[in-house]
Amino acid sequence: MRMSREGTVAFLLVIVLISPTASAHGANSFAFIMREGSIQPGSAEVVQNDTLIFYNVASQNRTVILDGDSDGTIEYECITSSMNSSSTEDECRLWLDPQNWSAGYYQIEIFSNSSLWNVLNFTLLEDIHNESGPPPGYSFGGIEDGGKSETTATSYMAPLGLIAVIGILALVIRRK
Amino acid sequence: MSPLSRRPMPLRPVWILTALMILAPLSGCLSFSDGSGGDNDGGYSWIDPVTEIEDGNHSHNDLLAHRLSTPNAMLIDYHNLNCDGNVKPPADLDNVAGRPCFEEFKNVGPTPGDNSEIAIEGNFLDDCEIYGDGTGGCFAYVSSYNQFEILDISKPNEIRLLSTYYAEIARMIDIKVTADNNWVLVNHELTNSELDPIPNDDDANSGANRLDLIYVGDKTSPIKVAEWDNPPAGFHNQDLHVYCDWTPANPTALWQDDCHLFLFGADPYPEMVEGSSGTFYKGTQIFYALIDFAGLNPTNNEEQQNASREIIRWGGYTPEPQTTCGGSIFNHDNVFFIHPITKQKMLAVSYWGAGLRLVDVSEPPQIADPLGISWPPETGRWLGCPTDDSGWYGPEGGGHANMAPEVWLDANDGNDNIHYAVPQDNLICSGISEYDPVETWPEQCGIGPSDATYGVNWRHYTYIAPEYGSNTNHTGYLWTIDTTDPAQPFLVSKWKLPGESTLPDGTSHPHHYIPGGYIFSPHNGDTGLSGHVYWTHYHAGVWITDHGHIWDELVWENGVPEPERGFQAISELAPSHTLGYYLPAGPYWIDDPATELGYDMADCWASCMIPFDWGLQYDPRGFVFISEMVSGVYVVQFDEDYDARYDYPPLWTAEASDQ
Repeated sequence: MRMSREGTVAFLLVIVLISPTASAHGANSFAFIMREGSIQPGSAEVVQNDTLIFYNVASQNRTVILDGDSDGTIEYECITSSMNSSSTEDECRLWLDPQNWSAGYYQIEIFSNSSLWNVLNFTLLEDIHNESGPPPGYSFGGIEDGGKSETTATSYMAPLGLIAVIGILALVIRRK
Repeated sequence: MSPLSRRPMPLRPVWILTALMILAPLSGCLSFSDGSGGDNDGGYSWIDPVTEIEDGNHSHNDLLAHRLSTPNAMLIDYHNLNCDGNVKPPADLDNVAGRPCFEEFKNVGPTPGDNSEIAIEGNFLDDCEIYGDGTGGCFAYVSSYNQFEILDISKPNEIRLLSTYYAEIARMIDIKVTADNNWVLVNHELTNSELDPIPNDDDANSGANRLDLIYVGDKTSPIKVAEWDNPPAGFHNQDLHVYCDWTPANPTALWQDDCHLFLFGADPYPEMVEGSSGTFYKGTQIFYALIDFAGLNPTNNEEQQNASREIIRWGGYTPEPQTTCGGSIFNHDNVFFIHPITKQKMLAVSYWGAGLRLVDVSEPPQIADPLGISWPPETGRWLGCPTDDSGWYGPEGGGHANMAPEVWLDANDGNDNIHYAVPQDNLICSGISEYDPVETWPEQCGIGPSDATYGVNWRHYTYIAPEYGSNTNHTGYLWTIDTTDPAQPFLVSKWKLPGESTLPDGTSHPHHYIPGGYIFSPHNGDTGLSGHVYWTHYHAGVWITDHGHIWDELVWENGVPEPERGFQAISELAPSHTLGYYLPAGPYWIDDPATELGYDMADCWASCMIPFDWGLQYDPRGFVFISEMVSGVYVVQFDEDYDARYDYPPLWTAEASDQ
């Protein structure tokens, strides 16, 4: 059985709303390793508020340049020294502040000895924070056991749940 | 797998299982599948307990709908961790000491909940005998956010809660204990950060940033003796070891003339620069705990007592950038073990995108190396991509899986996010270990690991798995890494939750996946003696897999094992065989445990689902101790682990038949 597009959209909306989202913990930083002959990884998908770290493990300096809006004006430039494990001069950091960096596709140019050495593409995703908590209408003990269930206060989620349910009902009625 | 239990199954579970099998096709809650691990003989058809989509036919918090297991799993005992009828101690009890518990409160309400990790220690192979000098016995320790519990598990079918240690400051989410059962190490991680948010996003009770050391020599009265503050977040996980073969050349603690306690903390903020000072925090931080019992004498003043609680930062480790292929690199977990061949004392460290790191902590330096400049060194590593220009980790080397960095760092393929690593304690050969009677050893195992011809067939594996909060394509692989030579680890097998799934649009999908809330992600695991591995998968329960025959089932490019070439010599990875699963869902002998025992899911720390399994430990007598986040501790035995020397049948079945 296949759902209609509207049904799918409504269903996904409900899934998003009722999913008790607890973001996976992570370092909130994403590293790129600039080796002698390559950069690892060559592309990435990161989220606003992440920090990009460029580690230079080669024997020559590297310059990292980002012209975010391709207007010819460089928004970010950083020079790393050659590899030096006793200092942080061989790395560059770029915090993807949502105030300055909107979601989209970006290209970073990396220069070595004044020549373009490599190009790095990354996709910046919007940092969406979902308030986690019990899903709308949440009760413990199963649907059939509502009378005995301990209902959890979900005041801030309840209106969203109601909207979602009304939306689904409307779609179902319209289909009929 | 033998689908039919040797022992009679308790009557009620049989009826429940039968009813579930009849109702499953109608309910949409369960799906029949031949899976990849089940079998179909003996009247049992494989039931896939994983259902991604919550709808009118399935609720993730419907406890009884999740009372599922394969027929080879049996509930031996259960404890809801009720200590004395109260979920908190009386207000006048300070928060650096515990309170004793009473047997009459076992499995009556309320159920405190919020459980996380479980640790066990004891003289299991002596069946937990109490020796003449008073030592011996077997105990379990469960961290439960604001408290931890100590249980006597000497009799797996009659576990007893001895005491509860309560702290006003949360959040204790990991717990470890020394082999002598005297010292417990708990974290108080400060969370609600981007690194590790609380599901409820509640700033209250978010924790501290500490490691606390608790003396548990008296199991009814645990008492805190030392703490270490580690801004900004504290530690996410930790381990510890007592060194009795290390002697400081210039001892500062004369009272520790025999043994020395070291702590291993996992700081989720690796390589963070402290302000402008340039001081590095290392992901893996090591501490020397100079506990002076004499100095803790209550007659001493506070200054004297504090001096006896000194903890010194002694070393640190984080992966060098050039040994990674980028990505998100942070330290999630450190597991201490002694390598059975090299005898190195090691940490099996999980570093997310930087994979598995084997770090040598055999010989603490004489002078503290707090910045980890040279101690501890890395012995080996495994991640899917090459991390060097040449050698074992280079493109032609055997120490990776020939993945491009973009592939290894793609969680959608079940990669990246290495969250937990657990090494075997011992070597295995064709499904047996040195704990099995010699007369049962197959020919290819010779006389043991020292056999000149067959010694190569005795292998050491380390198992690693990711964690995902959400993943629209996959639940992640359990990777088996051959660490027989810890300097040259290589991939030999990988496994995922068996079965297919249904996407929200109704189409089928070749993997199970994680819509959100960590629902089916792998979490923590443990190993058996002869190649069995046990792993919690949160709402998908506990799974047992068999890795004992991997070495026999590898397909080598040239027809003969070539471990010196590692992955490059393997033309086909060996399978990890699914043996079964168990979803803890309250005790069978209570019809409505959620109501009767007062399960509290209101804070949704377990993502508003039940079961939600955090951790487990394997008792080498053949039992699995499971920590379920809402309902408590379950003792489960799989038929394959039954050992007649340790016959502890469930007593609750006898009690049920008496009624």
